[in-house]
Amino acid sequence: MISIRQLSKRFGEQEAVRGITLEIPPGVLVGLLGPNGAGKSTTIKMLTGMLSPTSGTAEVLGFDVTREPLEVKRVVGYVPESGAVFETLTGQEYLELVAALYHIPEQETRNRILKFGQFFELDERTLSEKQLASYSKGMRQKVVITAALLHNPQVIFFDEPLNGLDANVALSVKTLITSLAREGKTVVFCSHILDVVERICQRIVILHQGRVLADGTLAELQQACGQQSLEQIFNQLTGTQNLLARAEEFARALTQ
Amino acid sequence: MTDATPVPARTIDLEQLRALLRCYWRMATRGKLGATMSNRRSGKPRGILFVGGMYLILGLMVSSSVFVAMDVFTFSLILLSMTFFVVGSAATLESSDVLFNVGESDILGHRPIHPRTLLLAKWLNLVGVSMFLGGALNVFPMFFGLGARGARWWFPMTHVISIVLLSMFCSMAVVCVYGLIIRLFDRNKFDNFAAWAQVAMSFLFIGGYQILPRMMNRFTGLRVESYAAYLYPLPPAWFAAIDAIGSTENDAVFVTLLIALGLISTAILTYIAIGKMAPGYGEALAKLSETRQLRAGGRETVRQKVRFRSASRWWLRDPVERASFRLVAAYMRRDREVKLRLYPQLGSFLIFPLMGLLDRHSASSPFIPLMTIWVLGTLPIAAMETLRASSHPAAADIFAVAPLTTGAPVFFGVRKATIVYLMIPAVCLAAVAIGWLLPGGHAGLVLALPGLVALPVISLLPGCVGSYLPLSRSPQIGSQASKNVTLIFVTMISMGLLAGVSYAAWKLDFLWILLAIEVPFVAAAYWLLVRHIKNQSLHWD
Repeated sequence: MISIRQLSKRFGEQEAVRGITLEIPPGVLVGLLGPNGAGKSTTIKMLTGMLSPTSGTAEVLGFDVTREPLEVKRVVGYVPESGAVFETLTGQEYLELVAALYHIPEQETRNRILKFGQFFELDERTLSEKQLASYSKGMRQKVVITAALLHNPQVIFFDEPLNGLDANVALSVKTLITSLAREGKTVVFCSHILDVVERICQRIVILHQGRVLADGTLAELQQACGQQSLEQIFNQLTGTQNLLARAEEFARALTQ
Repeated sequence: MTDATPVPARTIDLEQLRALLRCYWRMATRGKLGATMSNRRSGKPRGILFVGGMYLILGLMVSSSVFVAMDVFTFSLILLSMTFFVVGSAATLESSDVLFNVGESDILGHRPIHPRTLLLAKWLNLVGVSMFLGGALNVFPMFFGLGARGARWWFPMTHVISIVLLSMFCSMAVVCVYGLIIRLFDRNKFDNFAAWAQVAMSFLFIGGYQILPRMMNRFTGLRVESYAAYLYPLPPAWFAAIDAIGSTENDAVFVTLLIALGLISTAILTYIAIGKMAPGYGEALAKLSETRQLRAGGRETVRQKVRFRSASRWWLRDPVERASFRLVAAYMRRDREVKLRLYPQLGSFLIFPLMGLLDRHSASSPFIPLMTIWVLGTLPIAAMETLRASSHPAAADIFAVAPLTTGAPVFFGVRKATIVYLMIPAVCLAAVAIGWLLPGGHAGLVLALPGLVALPVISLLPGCVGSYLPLSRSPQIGSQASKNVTLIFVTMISMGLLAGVSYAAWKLDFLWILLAIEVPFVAAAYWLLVRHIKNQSLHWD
């Protein structure tokens, strides 16, 4: 389904991704973890055909991301971390635009928007009358997720989809992600919320400084690192040292 | 399997093109103004309609020139020179938003759109916006032109074709210039080169309207000598020739040659932009959205810092004012969006001194200094209104969080940054051009003094209308043309009146008396406006 071999990406002098090799079979929900700047988003952008790799190869459903970016884009769905949308469009207009880009017939588009609206409890009037600029963060994220799933992609990348969402919306998104994996779709889930990854992902990949540090099920990682929780494993691998001492020093500096 | 229909490997996908065009048009016509006025419901295109209305009136005024027995080619040339300026400026201003919108990468970058379809949609959007404005300017002249000497009954139809082709040419030229820059330079250099290219393009388009007619030394009354060789490199003349088809007033060979030039150059630009540059467009957009290591560009040397600190100790003694000054100064030097919007405005005021240099006849006339100071008057408002927007508007929440009772120190910081980084260099440049390069320059400088004295008061105006918070609005596609029109309009009228009074005083030899009256008046106005701004409570919208 997703096959990555020695994938690298360099931005000038900075090497964001350094020779990643991964195989992700169909129907798996993979958690992609890493501290900020670990190369998660860059990897996803290469896998969605948005960025060309500097070296190495990657295939999604057999399509090469460098040679066949348009074919790759047809079969993937992507929820960007930024949650960017065209803010001056209404939700309905935005989703219709996205559907047209995938050549989904109008009637089918309307049906799907209706279904997603029912699932996410999106008010039809709000969708058709208000510009996205006036939506709350949660509502906007619902539209972004709907836009990523509208064409029924086989591979879906979620880049920090729970950022800034309230508990109810976050629960809807988590439930949706697990349901999609159960339906046989390959889901790559990038998040900093480790307990969510621990609970819903079948496989966990930890990136650090552009390299894969760990790859396996939670049980495999626990065994390899000799730690119990994903948080401890993550901390051990990505090295946050003397956290308590540094926090106390910072708090003291504020009060002085 | 996925439901995305497998599309044949054609590069222009008409269904996608239609969808993108609909989307871009909605965004261009709604903009910020539309959203605000309609309580953020699906906005009506009021902003762009307002500007269109103003051009409609301007077109009506220009139409009156037909009554001075002008031939059809000359009439069309004057009109299309103005349209060239309107259309070219609109295309240049909107292009950075439309063509290289970094945020768009996360929205469309992962969709299966061929770069050629995307670029074509963006170009057509640019053509649409510029044609709307150019069209508004030409609605009345299109019919009044029937009264021009030698005009045939089909003039309105040929004039529509001229406007469409002119809009296509201008937009395609802009696309080509940006396409070339992004191919040649990396993102950091692209920002700088694009900003300066935009200045150059604005200059070119304004030049097409202002300078070129003055270079036509063979103007006899208001008639262009048809065989003049200088008409061949002028794009407005190529398209004006279309209106002269069948006219007995102009030579058929001359008209045909000009039309051929227009069609060939538009076709070449189209081929370069869509055929050659489009394949690399997707990659170029991705290049712009790439993360990069940014150095704090435009840093001062240590000596400059020391000097600035001692000078600013008194001038920027309010800490909020100082912070606001530094924030805006950093954006003026480093931020791509701000640079692209701000610096092209510099092109407009340099036009008039340059006009004087090119046209020795008008060089010593009072027209040059008066017009220069007139345009300079609009610069602080245009610049400060531009500085209201940035690509990081959410960061301006810092002003809402900070315990500020009034936005006055924030506004004064921005105003001072505008004075230091824009107004002083602009005034110096204009003074050098008028005072040293033009004959009779010293008299010209004296003539510009009343306008110069008024500038500090003019620069206070943006702070008088509601709370001024810098970088707090997101730049919206289509909003550039509609922004600040009212304030600038008021300033232009006031500065125009002042220029008229200055001229009269200069003619009647009481310019120094006028200055003596003006200075206390300006001082009082300055004091009152500063007081008004300081008393305004901070309103966060």
